[in-house]
Amino acid sequence: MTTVQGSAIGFQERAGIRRTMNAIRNYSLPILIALVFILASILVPQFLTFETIRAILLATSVTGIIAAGMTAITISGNLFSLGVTASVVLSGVVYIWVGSVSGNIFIAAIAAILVALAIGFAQGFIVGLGLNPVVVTLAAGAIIYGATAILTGGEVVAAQSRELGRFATFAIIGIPLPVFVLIAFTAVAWFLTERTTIGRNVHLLGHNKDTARNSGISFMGTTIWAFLIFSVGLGVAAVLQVSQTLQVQADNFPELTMNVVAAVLVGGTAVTGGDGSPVKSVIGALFIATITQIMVLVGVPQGTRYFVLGVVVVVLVITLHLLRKAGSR
Amino acid sequence: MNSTAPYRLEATGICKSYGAVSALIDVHIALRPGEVMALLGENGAGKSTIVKIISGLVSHDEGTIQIDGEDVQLHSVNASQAAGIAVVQQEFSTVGTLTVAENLVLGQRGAPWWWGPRKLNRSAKAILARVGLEDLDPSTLIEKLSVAEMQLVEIARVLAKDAKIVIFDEPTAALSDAEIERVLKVVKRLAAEGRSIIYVTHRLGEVFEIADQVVIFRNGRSQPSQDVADLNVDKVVTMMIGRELGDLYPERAEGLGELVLETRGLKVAGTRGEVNLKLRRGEILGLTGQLGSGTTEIMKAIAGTEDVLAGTVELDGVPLDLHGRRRGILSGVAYCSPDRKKDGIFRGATIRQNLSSPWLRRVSRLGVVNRKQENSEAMRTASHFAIDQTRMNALVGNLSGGNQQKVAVGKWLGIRPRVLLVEEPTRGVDVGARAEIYAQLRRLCDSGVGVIVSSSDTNEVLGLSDTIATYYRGTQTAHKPAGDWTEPELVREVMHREEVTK
Amino acid sequence: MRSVSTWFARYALQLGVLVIVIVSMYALYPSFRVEASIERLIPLGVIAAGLAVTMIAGEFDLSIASMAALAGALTVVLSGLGLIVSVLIAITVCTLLGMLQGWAIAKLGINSLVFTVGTLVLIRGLTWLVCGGLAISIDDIAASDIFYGRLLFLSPLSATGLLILIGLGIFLSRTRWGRELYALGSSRPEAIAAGVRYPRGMVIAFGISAGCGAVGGALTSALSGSAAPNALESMLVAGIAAALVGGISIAGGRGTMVNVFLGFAIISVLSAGLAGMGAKAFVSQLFIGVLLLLIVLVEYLIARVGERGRRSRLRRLAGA
Repeated sequence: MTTVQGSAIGFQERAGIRRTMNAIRNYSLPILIALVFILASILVPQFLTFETIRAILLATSVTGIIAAGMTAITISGNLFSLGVTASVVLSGVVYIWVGSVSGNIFIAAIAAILVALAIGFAQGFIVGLGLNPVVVTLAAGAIIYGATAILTGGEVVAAQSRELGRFATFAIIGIPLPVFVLIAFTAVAWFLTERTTIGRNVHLLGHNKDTARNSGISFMGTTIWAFLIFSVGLGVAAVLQVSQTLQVQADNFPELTMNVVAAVLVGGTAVTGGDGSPVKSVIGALFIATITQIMVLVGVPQGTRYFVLGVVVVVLVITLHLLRKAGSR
Repeated sequence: MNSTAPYRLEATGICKSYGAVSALIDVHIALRPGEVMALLGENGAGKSTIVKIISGLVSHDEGTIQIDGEDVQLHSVNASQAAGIAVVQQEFSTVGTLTVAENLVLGQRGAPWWWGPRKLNRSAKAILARVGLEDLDPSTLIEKLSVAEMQLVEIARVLAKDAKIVIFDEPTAALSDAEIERVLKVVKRLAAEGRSIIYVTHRLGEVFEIADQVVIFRNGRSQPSQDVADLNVDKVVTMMIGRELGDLYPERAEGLGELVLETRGLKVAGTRGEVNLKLRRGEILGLTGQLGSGTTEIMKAIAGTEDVLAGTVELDGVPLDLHGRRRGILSGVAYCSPDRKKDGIFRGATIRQNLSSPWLRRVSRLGVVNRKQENSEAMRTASHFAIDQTRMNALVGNLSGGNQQKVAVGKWLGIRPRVLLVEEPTRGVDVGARAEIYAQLRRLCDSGVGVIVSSSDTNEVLGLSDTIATYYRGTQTAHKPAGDWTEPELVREVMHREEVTK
Repeated sequence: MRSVSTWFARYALQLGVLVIVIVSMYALYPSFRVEASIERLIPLGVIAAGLAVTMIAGEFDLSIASMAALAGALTVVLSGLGLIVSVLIAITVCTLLGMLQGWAIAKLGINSLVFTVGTLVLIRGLTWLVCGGLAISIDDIAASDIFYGRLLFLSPLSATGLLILIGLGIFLSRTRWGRELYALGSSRPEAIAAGVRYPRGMVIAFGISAGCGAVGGALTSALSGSAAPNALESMLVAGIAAALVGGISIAGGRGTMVNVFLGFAIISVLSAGLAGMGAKAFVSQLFIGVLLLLIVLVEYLIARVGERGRRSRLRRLAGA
């Protein structure tokens, strides 16, 4: 019925092309960032300064932590969560409230993370039933936003004491704590998705839902875990963000969701699921923050910055898509 | 039909390969107007591939196709339709959320741009009557139809196209006797109108009723066409069998142990009556039948992925929990699906990750994977199945069909199964890998695992199994030790047992 | 007539919800006027319609709100040529951009959700550039006056919106290209095998989506006489909510403009009523979110119950 023909050479050639395409895809972004860094150091005067680097790292930390967590959802094949902003705001509000009442920033942080976990669990459960993740997270985002706004009366919730900002002001050798938290959380997220059974199941589920079912992998359980990993990141990022501004309001961070999604996409995690890593998404966030900071230094107005960012995302997404297609023929 | 008229369709020297695997080698088909040509052959012999090439879905590597004496390039579905070819596919090509009437005109060249329901329904009714569906409301959504009705609408779609050449790819798999009669009448009438018909089927009864010519496919090659008038069932069966049993299959079991699996009063959608199977330790039980025979539903029911309508399945005397694969795996039931690309392997994951997927928890502590243990266990499986142990990091999607299948079957070793259910164990697999898979299945069996193999490849079933149960259109027709069968008997059994359906 | 009862059955859930919402609003807020809600056809209704078209085709156009903002900006910037002219130019330009998007998505074979995440930022950026970074207004304030007329309870804007919905409704239910979108959305491989042209379908779907967004944005700016770079950002979520609440299936291949209108009506009445009662905007966001979640959960439960009924029927037949 089937016989092996002598086209082994063609086979190997194709394997070689595949390997090259995949290598480009996996390493392009770090190389790109390095290139951008080098070019910017030469061409832009204030770039290679401590303040600039620190600003870039700080800007990356909040988006990066959330993106690292969201990668788990993307890898599982459940696309994205489009309700990031609302959850961050709510966690931020909880942080300030509990912090003001208890006077202890650690208890406040834990409370914020717990709240994020609770709403993440609910969303994960509903998506685990089989409902579309885009719809569920959009709806959840609207509900959480409305509830938060009602709870706060739409007013700014401000921290009474500067103590609550300790997480942001604390610095080691001049590098603010959020950067270390970013590194630590990324390491944890990486460990969870690469070295645990849950993480392996997240990958396998994203590769092929039907095969996963036949192998005894639970769609509901794995999806919930992906959302929980994501929610921890949300809570942590919210605490860090609010620590910097010491206040939060229901309407804050309107672009956060899209920035996080862009970071995951630019980082190279496949939206179809299976492949990807939290580390890549953080690199994506770093890349976006770097480009943005360069534009700010050069004096590019906000509108043009937005436009350039859009072009960058579209070009990278298309390139990654084409590389992925070439790498799988 | 005029046997000296020029050919309407002539495909010469057609070759097609998928990577290193040849699907078609020097295939030749010639069809006259008003002629019905039956294509016969085992699964994977090449019938589907030549149909896909003629219908424009797939392009051939070598060879020419001529229609009415002129060379044509059938590089797309549109080109094929433009050349006057229409196909009734094996997989339905109707759109569920559109109405019957809309499906009849969908994608047709020269269809009007305004689809007023009254006009569409009127023209639809005329066409539906020709397949016996005159009582069907053309404004019904396709997804609300029964499988048989969908099949008939498929055929009606083709009639609407007014094609010169019509291809039917196993059109009667899901139909009742009355519906089959209707289809055969339609085919005969189309031929009488001067159209050329290619009819792919596994049912010899249909071949002898409507076909003028028969082309038999074997191992990717086509045999010269024969007049049906010169043939009978036995001759056809003999021509279809092409392989010696030879050294491909390991020795059969010498003695069989106690009862391991038993079905009691099992009823599943797709079978008529009860399914009664007994599997003993050390036994390879072979279920065989063609499309629509019910074997795949039975396998899936025992695996827990298909609904059980009545009855139980007992494993070592204890009723099995048949609700889903997870429970099945916990009870020690392993299942390999017939379509590994769809739900048998993770193409984007590595060999090691695939092999460990059902038993990852066993090599993990506190949720963390012990990679060394995972690797050694995976390597052990790889050595059993002769998978190249240096390639454990290769993506399964890049492997040959044979290696993919070894991974699909091999991964179950790690759950220490008590029963292994395998459907189509060597579909799309080369000879070398087939021998390795058979050897491993036998070894597994000898170590005390009960194995049920379901396959439409009669040669394979005969060579591999200790006991064979045959199925025809949902009914079990025979259940004998393998030694009591000859291959012609077996082929005939699954292709021509009309009396059981009366 | 059988078709009237099936028509009701198809929209029963949404009709029921709409009635409940209207009655509740009247009960809670006596001076509520339903007719005022229809004004929001521009921009919410048409944006929901555009989103519905791409959803029906099995895709997602996240850039529609940005397209609307761009159209508004173009309308204001070009208003010197005459307001009607600038509106038409804006709509044309954006429709062409949308068709380009559809073509790119088809040719690249890329997931539209992923692609439009990028273009939503890109087109928003274009809007910023066109606006010069600030809110801009038309010099001649009086030019907008023609949009303030009234015909019964309809204004020129809501009448346009209604016409667009009706036009799209006819397109989707009675024309070949419209029905092909359903085919591509529900059973894409089968549709392509049958001969439906996928690239053409994408160009049409994304062209219509951008066009609807553009109509919404251009007319909104024409009426108000101004445009801003961050205009209509909330329209994306509101539009998706309206389409889904109305019954458009996110899986593709299902839904009509009647669904879109009902969904728009529910959300619009809810928002208008709540606003009239003095509630702030975020309260209606909460309700919209709850409504969206409830509707998808209810549809899920209905499907589950249907599955179970079918299974027990088969079991009874077999056991009998």
